[in-house]
Parts: sequence; C-alpha cells; structure tokens
Amino acid sequence: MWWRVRSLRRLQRLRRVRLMRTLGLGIGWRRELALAIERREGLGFVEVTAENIRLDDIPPPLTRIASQGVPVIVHGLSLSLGGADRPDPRRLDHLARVAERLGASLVSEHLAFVRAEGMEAGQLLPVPRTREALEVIVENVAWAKRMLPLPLALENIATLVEWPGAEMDEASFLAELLARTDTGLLFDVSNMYANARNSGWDPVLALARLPLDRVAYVHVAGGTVRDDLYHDTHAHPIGPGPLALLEELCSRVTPPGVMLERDDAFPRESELGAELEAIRTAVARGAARRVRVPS
Amino acid sequence: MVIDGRTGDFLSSVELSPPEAAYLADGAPRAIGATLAGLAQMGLIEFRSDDKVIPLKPAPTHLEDPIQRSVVAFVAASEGPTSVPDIRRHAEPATAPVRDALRASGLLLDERALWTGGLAIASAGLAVFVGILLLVAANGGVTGNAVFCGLWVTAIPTLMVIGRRRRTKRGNAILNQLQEEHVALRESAEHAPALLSPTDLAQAVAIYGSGILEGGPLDHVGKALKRERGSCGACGGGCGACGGCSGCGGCA
Repeated sequence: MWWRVRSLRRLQRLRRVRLMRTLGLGIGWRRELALAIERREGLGFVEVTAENIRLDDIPPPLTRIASQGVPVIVHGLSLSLGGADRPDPRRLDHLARVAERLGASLVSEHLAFVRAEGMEAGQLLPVPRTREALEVIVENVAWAKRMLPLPLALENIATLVEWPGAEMDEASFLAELLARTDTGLLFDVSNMYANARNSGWDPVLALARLPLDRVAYVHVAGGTVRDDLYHDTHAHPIGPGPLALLEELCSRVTPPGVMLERDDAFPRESELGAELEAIRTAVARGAARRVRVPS
Repeated sequence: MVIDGRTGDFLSSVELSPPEAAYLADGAPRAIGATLAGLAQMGLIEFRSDDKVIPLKPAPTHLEDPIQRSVVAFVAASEGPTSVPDIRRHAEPATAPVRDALRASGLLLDERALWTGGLAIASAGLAVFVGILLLVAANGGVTGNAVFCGLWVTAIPTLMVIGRRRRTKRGNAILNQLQEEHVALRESAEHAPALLSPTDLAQAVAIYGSGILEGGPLDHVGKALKRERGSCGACGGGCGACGGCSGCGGCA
C-alpha cells in the first residue's frame, strides 16, 4: 500500500512540475474581467487573490475555469511574512483551503509586512534589508511552508520608502532568502522597474544578481508617473519600461508563466487583449535574443 | 436561434438571441427589458433617475430587431420622457414573432398545450378540494366556512401552478443550461456592466433578469426595469385580468 501512496505523490509532484513549466500567458482573475477571461482563447493560467475569496461563496466562473483544466495559482496579500510575528495560522489555513478548492498548483505571497503588534497597515510595507531581519523572515517563510500543502513563491514588492541601514540591495536580499528557504520567486517586473526608476538604480544590473532559475512566474502591470515618481497602479496600460525589463528577463531565462495584473480602471475586452499581446510580444522578443546570442 | 438536439442527456449547443432568451425566461416584459438595457448600452436611450427613458440619438437605420425598432420609435416619437410600462405596452406586439419562434422550436407551450395542461391542473385541484371536503364531512360535517377556506387553499396554488406554466421541459432545460453556461457574463454584468457590449448586457438581463444590475453601476436601470414585474402589458389589467399570464407571455 505504502508504495502506491508514494507513487501517487510522485505523480502529483511531477504533474505540478509539468504544470509549472507550461503555464504560459496568464491573468489575474477579477470579477469584473470574468467574461473577458473566459472568452480569452489559449489562456495559460489565472491567479486569484485568496483574500477576495470566501470558501462558502467561490465565484462560479472561477470554479468553471478551474474545472476546465486552466491552472490556478492562489496569491496571498496578508500573511505578513516580512513581519516580526509568525504568520497567522488562520490566514495560512485560508490560503491552503482556497488552493485546495481550486486545485491550485502553487501559492504565492509578498516579501513584505502588513501588520505589527496587531496594527494593520492596509498596504504592503518593505522589510528592512538587514541580516537580523533576514533571519526572522527565513524562519517565517519556513514556518509558512510547513503549514502550506503546496510550493510557495515570494514576490518582490514596489515601495516608495526604504528603511535606513540596509545591509544588502534588493536583489541580493531576495536571492539569499530564496536560497535559504528553498522557495520560488514570483518576479514582479513592474515592481522592480518602479523601485529602480524611483531610487535611481539599474534594474538590468539587478537581474544579474537575482536567482532567475527560481522564477516560478512573473507579474506585469501598468503604472503611471506622478510628481516624477513611478506608481505601480495596476490601473493603467503597461508602459514601455516594464515591457523592456520583461524582454530583458526573457532574454536570460524562460519564465514558466507571465501574467497581467489589472486591479482597477478595468479595460474593455479588446484593450485587455492588446495588453496580453504586448506581454506575449515582449516575451517572444526576449526569447529570440536568447536564441541569437550563442550563435 | 441555434438549438442543437440532445446528445444523450446533454443539450449540445444552445444559442438564443437576447430577445429569445429573455422571452423564454420571463416572457414579453423581460424581452423588452433586455432590449431597453441593450439600447441604453448602445447610447441610443438613457434611463433618468425618475425611471423614465429619454432618447439620446436618432434611431440608426441598421436596427433589424423588431423589438429594438419598436422601442426606439416609440421613445423618439414621445413628446417627453417615457415610462417603462408605457414602452412595454407599446412594444408588446413586436415580441409576438419571438414567442412564435420559441413555440415552433418546442421551447414554449403553445395555446393548446397551455389550455389542456391548465384544465388538467384545475381538475387535479378540484379533486383535491373535493377530497378535503369529504375528509371534513367524515369528521363532523361541512360548514360554509370550511368550504370557503378549502376553496381558497386549493384554488390559489392551482392558479399559481397554471400561471407559471409557460415553458416545455426542453425549454426549461435550455434555460437552465443558459444560466449555467453564462456565469461569467453574470459576474461581469454585476460588477462591471460598462465593459460589456450592448448584446452582452442585453443577454445578461435576458438570462438572469434586471436584478443583476441592481446594486452596481447600472442600479437605476435595474430598478427601473424591475418595477413593473407582476403586471402584464398585453392583458392591460395585471395578472388577474386574464387569469394568469401564461397566455400573454408571462409576468413573473
């Protein structure tokens, strides 16, 4: 009997690995976009935000998509893995249950904190990039991974503020955290573009320090410039900056999946399609560069 | 109208236009309601805050749907803002071809089936009434009060059942299938109706009713279209006037 269970688990693991290698082009599932998403032919996967889902009231279009075999990734916003406190077991449990109900192959969260001593920040806050903070976050991530039934990927966030006394840059901090916790990277191209533009560093150089072999999938979103600061709004069309960085990424590695995040000012179906095509084109251009370089 | 035949227990393909789906779901009032929602989305008419409708643009020549043409012509010809009940009364005859097509496709009961079915149900109701009377008589005698109460207890459900009978079994199956297949349309219509094409919005109202617009950005449209539920344009006097609305397309 035991060997059957082991074989079954091995098969499930293989299936997940295969799924991860073939995610393709995806989109963040939102109620407003339900029809456009359902009509999109050849959609590779959808990502759903766990905090927007009630277990007793999962939107029927979402269960329909999942039942049709479109891979679902469950994304968390509120675990606060970058906080000083251990992640809330109830939130972890919710994340796990939503993933289970939708047959997800992966869950993801942000490298950020959203609460401290019971106070909710209401947004994703950056972690201090110090050795001391890294030790705490490593423990938090390891704890979360033990509680979750699926692989976890961590996302780099966009921020307009930095903690003083940083001992590492963003890429090095992420690289060490992912290596020590053996965790995947949800690489948000637009977040890195925003941080680089607003802080005046080169995102292409940062790419070289990231563990790109750990990329589980990629987020791309639109933003806008206000007061000379780039804001990753998820409510505007994707600009040339994030698309160029996506192309650069794809010239170095083949990400298993790339997806569009749109959370507000939802566009019509045709505009959404154009956004997805822009992503597809950037991925293809990057891949073409990778092929050309060795020859 | 595209309705493929049954394959085993499954209906393989169903495509009904918004007026057809609306008429199948809830008769002429919903067919006109779905048309109004679609015309508003096209920018040809506008729902005001007092639930009345005003024209925004002249009727384009490409409108082929007779219900659309009837509604637009009536709204444009009216001197002032038009009420939804008035539009429904005016456009009701334009829904007859849709009703006839649905009957011809075996999705709606025809007049004969409605009458024979109604008589059968009424006979069953009468039998239940007589049964109750016999039971009461066996237990101590029939009073005038008991007869009156028994009549009401059996007559009301009987009339309700007769009034609700409009669709055939196949019509019911197809409506259920439409409602299951278009859950994404419903979700988008509830949360972002402005993103939908006029045809999609009309189809959403057709399949799920105007209630899906309430509480969202088109709340006023949903409420304006819902107000008249329970009245019946063709009968003129509401559901009671014609003994239920099955004959004139349904009310509920």
